[in-house]
Amino acid sequence: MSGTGSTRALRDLVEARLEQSWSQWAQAHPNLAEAIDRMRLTELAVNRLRDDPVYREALEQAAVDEAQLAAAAKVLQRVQAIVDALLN
Amino acid sequence: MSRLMLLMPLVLVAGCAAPRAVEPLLETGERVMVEEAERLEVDGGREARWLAQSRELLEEAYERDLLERGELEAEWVMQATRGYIAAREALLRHELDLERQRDRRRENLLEAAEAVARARELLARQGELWPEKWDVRRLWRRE
Repeated sequence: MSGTGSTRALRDLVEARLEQSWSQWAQAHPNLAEAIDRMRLTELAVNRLRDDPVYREALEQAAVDEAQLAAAAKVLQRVQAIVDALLN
Repeated sequence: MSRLMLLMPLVLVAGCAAPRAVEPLLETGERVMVEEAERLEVDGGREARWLAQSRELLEEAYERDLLERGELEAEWVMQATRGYIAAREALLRHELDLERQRDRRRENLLEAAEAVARARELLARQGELWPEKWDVRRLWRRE
């Protein structure tokens, strides 16, 4: 994934996944949730994803294989795994 | 920075003017660039204080959650710790980004200031480098 459009798409994807996990997490850790800057947390998840070898491999596969759907699912799984690793 | 933005076109336009008019402009330009570079240090100090305060807030919030929680289940503690560590890492990355940006701006400003200083030096030595007989402005003076 490269270019501003892709970067934005990745950030939106991560943000949406983080949002799903956030409300439950924030209920359990109210003070910490208030002190955490979610924008920076999203940035951190995006950076971790970019450095993640499984994620990169999935992206490479999507570019060369016809099995793009499977690769996309793998990408989504990886996004969820990274978000889970940040909070859960 | 806005002062700099205003000054640069002035300096460029003044390039077409007589050297005597250009010299004070170049001098001011160089001074403003150096001042801007020095001001980055002040910005850096302010950012460092803000980051330290953010770290303190995180630490306090983490501790308050621990204190307010009646039972400390292992899973809850792990979640809180992961969240706290992730937030600290995010802050650290932000700090490094700010440092990189500041360093780049400082380098650019100091390089620009050095270029202006050289231009001033060249102007000062113009008489030596550019003999009077080659100076096209003398044509106007003769008129």
